[in-house]
Formats: sequence, C-alpha cells, structure tokens
Amino acid sequence: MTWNIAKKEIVSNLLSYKFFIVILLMVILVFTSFFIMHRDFKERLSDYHLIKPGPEDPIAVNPPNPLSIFVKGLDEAMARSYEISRIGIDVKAGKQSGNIIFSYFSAPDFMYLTRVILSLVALLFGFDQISREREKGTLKLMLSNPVSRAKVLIGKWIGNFLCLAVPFIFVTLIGFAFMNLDPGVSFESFGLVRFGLILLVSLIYISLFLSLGMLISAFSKRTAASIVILLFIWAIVVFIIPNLGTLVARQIVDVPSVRALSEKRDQIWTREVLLGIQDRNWSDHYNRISQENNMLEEDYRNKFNRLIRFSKNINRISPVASYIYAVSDIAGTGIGEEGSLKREVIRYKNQIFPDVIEQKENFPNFSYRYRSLSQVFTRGTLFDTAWLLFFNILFFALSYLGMVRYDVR
Amino acid sequence: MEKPILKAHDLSKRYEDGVLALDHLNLDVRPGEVFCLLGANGAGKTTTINLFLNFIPPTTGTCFINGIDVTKDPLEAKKYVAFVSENVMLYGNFTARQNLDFFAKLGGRENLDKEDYHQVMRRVSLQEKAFEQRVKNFSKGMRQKLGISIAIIKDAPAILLDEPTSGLDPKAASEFLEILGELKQEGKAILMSTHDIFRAKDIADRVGIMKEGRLVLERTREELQYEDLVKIYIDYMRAEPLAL
Amino acid sequence: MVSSIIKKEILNNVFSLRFSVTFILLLIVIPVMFFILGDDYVRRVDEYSLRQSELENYLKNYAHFNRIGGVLYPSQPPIPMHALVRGLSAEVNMEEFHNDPLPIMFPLIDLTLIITVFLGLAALLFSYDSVAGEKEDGTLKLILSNRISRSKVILGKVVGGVITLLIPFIASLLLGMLFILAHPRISWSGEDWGALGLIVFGAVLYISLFYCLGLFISSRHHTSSSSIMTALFVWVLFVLVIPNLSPYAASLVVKTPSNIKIAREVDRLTDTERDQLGIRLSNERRQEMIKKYSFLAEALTEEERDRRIAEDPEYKQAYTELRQEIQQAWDEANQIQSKKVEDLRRDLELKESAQTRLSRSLSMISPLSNLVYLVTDLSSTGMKNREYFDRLRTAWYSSFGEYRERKIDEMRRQNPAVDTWNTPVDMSDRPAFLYREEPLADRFKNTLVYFMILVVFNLVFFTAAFLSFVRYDVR
Repeated sequence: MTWNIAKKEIVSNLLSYKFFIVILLMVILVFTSFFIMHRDFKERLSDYHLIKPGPEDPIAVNPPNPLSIFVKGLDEAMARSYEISRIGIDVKAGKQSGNIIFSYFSAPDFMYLTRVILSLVALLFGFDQISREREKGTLKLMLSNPVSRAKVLIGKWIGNFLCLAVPFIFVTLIGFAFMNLDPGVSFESFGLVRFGLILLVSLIYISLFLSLGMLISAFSKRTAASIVILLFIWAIVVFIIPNLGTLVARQIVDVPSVRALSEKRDQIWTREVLLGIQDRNWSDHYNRISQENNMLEEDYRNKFNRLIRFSKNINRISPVASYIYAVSDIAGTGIGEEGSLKREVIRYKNQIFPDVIEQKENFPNFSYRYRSLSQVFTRGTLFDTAWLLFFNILFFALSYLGMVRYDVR
Repeated sequence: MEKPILKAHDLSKRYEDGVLALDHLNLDVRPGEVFCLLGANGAGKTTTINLFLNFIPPTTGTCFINGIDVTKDPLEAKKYVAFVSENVMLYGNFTARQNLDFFAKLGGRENLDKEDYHQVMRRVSLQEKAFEQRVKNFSKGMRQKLGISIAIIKDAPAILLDEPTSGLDPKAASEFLEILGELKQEGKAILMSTHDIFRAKDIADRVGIMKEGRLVLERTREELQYEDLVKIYIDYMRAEPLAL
Repeated sequence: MVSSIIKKEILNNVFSLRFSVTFILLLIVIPVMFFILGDDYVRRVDEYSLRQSELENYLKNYAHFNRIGGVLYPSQPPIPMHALVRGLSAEVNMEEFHNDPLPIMFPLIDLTLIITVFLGLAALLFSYDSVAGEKEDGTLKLILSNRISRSKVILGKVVGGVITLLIPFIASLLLGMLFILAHPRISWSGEDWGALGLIVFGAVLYISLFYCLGLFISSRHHTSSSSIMTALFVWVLFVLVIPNLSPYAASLVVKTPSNIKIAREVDRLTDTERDQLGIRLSNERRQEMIKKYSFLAEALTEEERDRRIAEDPEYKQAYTELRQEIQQAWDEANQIQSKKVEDLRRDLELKESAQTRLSRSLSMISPLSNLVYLVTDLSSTGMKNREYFDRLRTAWYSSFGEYRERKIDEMRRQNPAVDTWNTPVDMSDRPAFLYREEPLADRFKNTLVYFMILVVFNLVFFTAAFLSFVRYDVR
C-alpha cells in the first residue's frame, strides 16, 4: 500500500514541470561546479609544484587536496608554504589570484550547491505535498480508502526522496567518474571513501529539508501560505543562523585580531634585531624572539580555539552549520584539519629551530598526514551527522503529528 | 429486512467555534437503497459525509459502515465504502486510466488489467479516446464520470456521494444518475447529498431534508407520490429557524 | 482608476499572511543585525586604539629607520558604516600564519545579504501569483470586465506591490537607525547617512526590479504553482549561480600567470640572474680597465694592495676608477633586472586587471552583483576603497620617505659618524597616516554605472511584464 503511494508520487513527479526544472538545474549546476573546481584545483596543483621544497629545505608545504574540488573550504590556506627561518615561520604563496571578484562570492563547490540550492529544491518538493492534494480533493479520495494517514505520509516521503536522491546520486557519480579520468587528479582509496561519505551526508542533509517541507505542508491548509513561510525559513536557516553564531561568539570570546598579533610580532622582531646590532649577541636575541613569539602564539591559539568552539556550538543550532562542519571535516579542508596542520607545522618548527638558528644545512622532510576518519568522526563529525539525522526524525515525527490532525476537507 | 450498511446513530458535531453542525442525526441506508440528503448550504449534509469517512470525529454518536464503528476501526470500515467527492481535480498529469489504477489499488483491488479499467470507463460512458488522456484537460462532466468509475471499481457495498451533479449540464447529470440507478440495482447502499430536488425525486428510495443540523423530514418514494417534494422543501426552507 | 488598483494591491497584500511574515521577519532580522554588527564595530574600534597605543609605546624606544617599515605602516581603521555593511572588510590575512578561517567558512551577514536574499525573495513571493493567481481566482476577469486598460492594471500592480514591500523594509531600517542614533559609541557623519540614503535607493531599485520580474513570470504562466517554480529557478540563477561563476568563467577567457609563478620569477631575476649579469658586466669593465692600466691585472693579496694604494698615487687612482666601474656595472645589472621585474609585474597587473574587469562585467549580468558593488562601494567596503586606500598609502609612503631623508640629514649633521639606519630615533614628529573615507560624491560617481544598470533592469523587466500582460489569456 505504501509502495503504491510512493510509486504514484514518483510517476506524478516525473510528469511534472517542477521536476523538469529541478533536474535541469541539478545537471547544469553539478557539472559546471565540477568543471570549474576541477580546473581551479589543477591550477593550484601546478602552483604547488612550483613551490615544492627540495628534500632538505626547512620548508613545510602540504599539497592541495583533491577533495577540495568538492569542498574547497580552507584548502587554499592549507596549501601555503611555511618556511622556517630564524625569525619564525615565514608564510609564502598566500594569495593565488589578484582578481578581487573572487572575494565577493562563495566558491561554487559541491558543498555550496548542496547546502544552498539543493536544500531549497528539497523544500520545494515537500512543501505542497499535503496541501496541494487537499486542494485537489485527492487527499480525501485517498483517505476514503483503507490506508492510514501514516502510510500516506511515508509513501509520499519515500517517493519524493527517491525523485530527489536518484538523479542527484546519478549526476554526481557521473561527474566524479569524469574527473577520475584525469590522471593528474588521483583520489585513491582515501578520496573515494571520503567522497562516498560526503555524498551520504549530503543525502541526509537533503532529506532533512524534504521532511521540513512536508512538515510545513502538514500544518498549512493552503499552498500559497506555506511557500512564504518555507522560503523565509530556508533563508534564515541557510544564510543567517550559521553565520550569526560566529558574530555572536566574537562578542563573547575576546580574541586579538590577526593584525594585532602580527604587529606585535613585527615589533618584537625589529626591537630584538636593533638590540642585537648593538650587542651582537645574536643567538640570545633570536631565542628571545622565538620565546616571546611562542608565548604570543600560544595565547592567541588558546583564545582562538575557544572562539572556534564557542561559535561552533552556537552555529550548530542550524543543521546547515552541522552540514558544513561534517562535510568539510570529512574532506579534510575544514577548520579542524587546518588547525591540525598548523599544529604539525609548529611542531616541525620547534623540532628544527635550533638548527635553523645555527644555520645548518640539512633538514628533515615535512609531510602532513591527514587525520584519519575515526579521528574526524570522534572529533565532532559523528555528532554533526547524528544532529542531521535527529532533525530528519524530528521533522518527520512532527509532520506525522500534523498529518494526523490535518483537516482534509 | 436486511441490515443497513450505512448507519448513523445519534450523531452530533459541534465545531470549535461553537457551531452545532449536526444535532442528533439518525439515519440508515440498506443495500439496494438510494437515500438522498437534501438541504441548504450549511445544513449539515457534507458534515454527515465527513463523519462517515472519519475525516472529523463526532461530538457524540456513532457512524457504522457495515456494522463497524468508523471511529474505532476506520481502516476496516473504509473497505466497505466508496466515495465520490463534489469537485475533484484528480491527478492532472495522470491519464484517466492511471488515476483509476492508483485508486483501485488503494481500494484493495490489486490484480486488474487495462481491459478491466477500460470496461469500467466505458460503463460510465467516458469517451474511448479519453482513457489515455491527461485528466487536466477533462471537462467537469468527464471528471465526474471518472470519479464514479473510481467508486465502481472499488466494488464496495456502500457509496457516499457529495453533491455529485453540481455544475453538470442536464445531459451529463442524467447520465450520471442512470449509472447510480444501475448500481442501486446491483445492491449497493447509496447515500447522496444534493441540492437537486428534481432529480432526487426521480432516483431516491428515501429522501431526507436537513435543516440546521437536524433531519427534519423523511419520506419514502411511495409517500412522495402523493406529496409535492418541491413544495415541502421550499416550505421548510422558508420557515422560521428551528429552536435551539 | 490606477489609484484604485494600487490601493487594492496594497490592501490585498497587507492583509495577507505573507505580509505579516515578511514584516515580522524583517523587523527582527534587521535591527538584530544592526545591534550585533554595531557592537562588533565598537569592539574593533577599541582594538584598533589598543594597537595604536602599543605602536606608540614601541616607537618611544625602538624606532629605527632600517626596520621601521615592518612596524609603521598605514592600516585601515574600522569605519562607522561597518555597523551595517561589511563587504570585503573581513580580514582573512592569508599572508599570516594565523590567517582567520572563519570568514571563509562562515561569511558575515550584513545589510547587503538581507537586501539581496531576503528582499529579492520577498519581491518574487509577492509578485509570482499577481497575475496567474488572479486568473485562478477569477478576479482578473472581473477586473478586466470593467473600463480599465491592461496597461493601467499592470502599472497599478507594480506600484502597489513595490509600496507594499517597502513598508516593512523601511520600518525595520528606521528601527535599526534609531539604534545607531542612540548608541553612545557609534556616531555617523552626514556623509554616512547620505551613503545609507543612496544605498536604500539602490535597494528600492533592486526590489522593484525583482517585482517586475515576478510579474513578468506570473504573466507567462496560467497557474501560480508553475509560476513560482520558474520564479525560483530564475532567482537561483541570478542570486546564487551567475555571480559565483563569473570570476571562474573570466579566468577561462583571460588567463593570468599565477602570482606564485611570478614571485618565483622575480626572485630568480633579482637573485641568480642578477648575480650572473653583474659578474659578467663587471668582468667586462675590469678587462677594459686592465687594457687601460695594465698593472691592474696583477694579482695581489689584500694587504699588498692596500699598501700599494697608500704608496702609489697612480695605482690608487686607477684602483678607484676600477672600483667605480665595477660599481657602475653592478648598478647597470640591477637596473636591467629591475626593468625586467617591472615589465613582468606590469604584465601581470595588466592581465589581472583585465580578468578582474571581465569578471566584474560578467557578474553584472545578475542584478545582485550590481547591488553588491553599489552597496560596498558606497560604504567604502568594496574594491574601490581598496584602490583608494592604496593611493592614500602611496602618498603617505612618499611623505614618510621625505621625512626620513630630513631626519637622516639632521642626524648626520649632529653626528657624522652615527649609524643612521640602526640608531633609535624619536619619531613623534612623523607625518601621521590619516584615513578618511573617500568623499561621498566620488563614491557615488563610482557607483553610477551600477545604479544605471539597475534602472535598465527595471525598464527591461517592466516592459516584458507589460507586453506579456497585454497579451495574457485571461479565460
């Protein structure tokens, strides 16, 4: 019985204008995004080959991550070159393009598409499920048969979810396969498994919005009313709340700005060099620079980590933030991974710094190992995924409540 | 006499805003019987049907379909009743047959084939070429025919109809009522709400006039041979509102 | 006649659920945004003063000309309009180890976002069923069965709809503005209010353009449910897709060499290649000198040479000449390489600005980009401000350069043996870097093109809606 209803939903969707628009949008966007981000990755990869350090240079560089094609995140920052000098860590190759227009708009990666556009699409699939059938009179007709309201709801949900998920998976996998053809981009098992997980989490995210849409439909009598509410909820949940948390957190956790930090470091360095010229006791001064910098940095890091944690907790009110955290952490381009890379670079610096001061020649290689999936999951991704699932269940349960009380007349 | 398939016992419904839509309604419909409910808008006709289908819960009283209490076991009860709504758009992107197929399966008729559907649609005089056409282009009359074919294919012992001929041209309306007559001969218990007193006179075995939630008058076909239904109806409509 | 249509549109909308929802939403979101951004602005002002006082402390004891460039440089202070618009002002600082990841992962919300996303969406939500929905309800036929032309009807719809939308927008803006006026630490100048006024005007153009678009779409559909689908599809393209794709599309057409590659090349040119060139040129000159003074070819130790210089005046003169020639050779090498570097950098700059211009133009296909550039440039948070700041900075650097020359001369006069580069100096009389926002008139001139494009969008969409409606099948 439920399957009959699901089948009816699927066929009905396939014949509808709405579905046509959605598929068109999906195909255009996914393929364009993959194409563009793939090129972007290739360019960054060729830049990496330019700045790759020699085997014994005191330079730490991490190559660009192929998964950044899907979740660009902080990969550009993570692919910078960190040269250990007597002053400390010297960052090179920070800015890839002088085209400022890039800074105005978010990168159109897979995460952006799913987070912003597919969430809207899923909402649009769900929002008129109940109210439209009521308006057409077919809801009454269905319920005059021996089929429970729960079955109707579940059947509708399954049918609509399949209509969304199957084309989505299909288009994504085709795009992914095309990309694999490029020998310059190798995903290996690391990339394949993680891409699969990203796809899975994205599906959970999409289904959450489908359920939200159906929830709204189960509580509104007229489709026209529900679409307004739906669109504003979408705009708030996708654009405002995830970013609001960061702003609020900054008010509460006092973190010095990066400018303040670098100004202090410059002041320390020039002061010590001036004093060094006067008394020629260079190693003393370099050590003092290093000491004070380390203190500054540790203080900054502590405060910054508090800020990150705080903002994370507030942002997560919106499941959209959880999606961002989960997907970027799995891809290895998120805040957590960047923090881990920086810790490794600092560790590397501390390891070779004494030799750098003494101006030795041969330094050990730096190579960064991404956090394993189990680490990623225990550090928060499991929570984020569970949170997304929770919202799925919550919205579905609420829709059931709405459906049960729904006035079908 | 056979037991009634449709039975309303002491049925009352007061809405949240205080309006008393039904006031201790008692009626029953037996197999092979057509019962027409007449009354002005808001008299309680549609509420009665909604209560039978468990779309809303009664304030007091019970509806029985085939002896089953509709609020206690709605899914079981709904096996025995088919419904034809007043103005049904159906699934516009589906063809007539696809609509029929879907609702047949919902109604429990699983293993029907195309020919079965075609037969039913022919029976209701739906044009052949419309069978595989999308419903969104159908006229009202065509949709009503499809609606009744949905009810026919379910093959349930009772049929509920809510203003089925409203908005139909005279030819379509009389075709529709012919079909109802056939169904009555087959032994279906039919409860129909309508404005159309003229046709009601022709088709009904029994007629009930509702006013402000009460069944104020009931007449059988024989009784109506001697009384002018139209006159009675209009008199009741003109009379003072009933006491609370 | 038109006025009764306008009145009907306004009343019909104002009593609808979507109006209440929009009103409440904007009434909450905009003032809250003012509040949070305003507080953040104050926090940043305080931090900026702190940084300035730390700098003063440093300068009291350790200011020396050799390395002052790393410590004393122009930086952009927070401006009062940051209480409303952030634009590009978020400091990501990719040149620092401690770059800030948050603005990349979670961009700031400001007035620009509210207008582009919420108001644009609201405009579509109010207009998508303005024609198709009235057809479904049967009221359109009723209206047109009277003595009123279709053009009056569509005009009335536009005016009524835009007025309706402006009510919640202006109301919530006023509430937010009250907050700024009442805030003890945020003071806006007349130019700031002027900029806000111009921004609001831009927002009005944006809202009405989307309203006309919605009307156009509505008059191409016969059901409101298909109308909303098309409207959202178009909205997604305009707001979420075209702007984001434009810089990437431009980079496909106008390729620029990567910054890193150029930096590499510059390093090579000023280091290894310069050294090679310098050595070659100075050897050539040495050979010439040796032809002139054959005794210079002798290989002497440093001691022997010093002795010879002290004893033999002829040798001394020849040697001095040699030194000069070698110095000139190295200067020449430096010059040649510098020119190469300059050419390389200029080429990069040309290509980059060409790509930037193309990206900007492509993005302007979407009305959203025009509004974003308009708002950010008027509030001094966009690319124009960067250019303006660069000009201010260059001017300061040259005046500081002059100051340095003067100070160094003074030091030398007082003590000829002093190390002018590495001695701490009192720099309290240095030229101050004062950042004032570009005058509003100039900012407005910069944004004139965006205003015009928004007006053009309005005309195009209105005309489209008009023509469509005139031929609309109301049956």
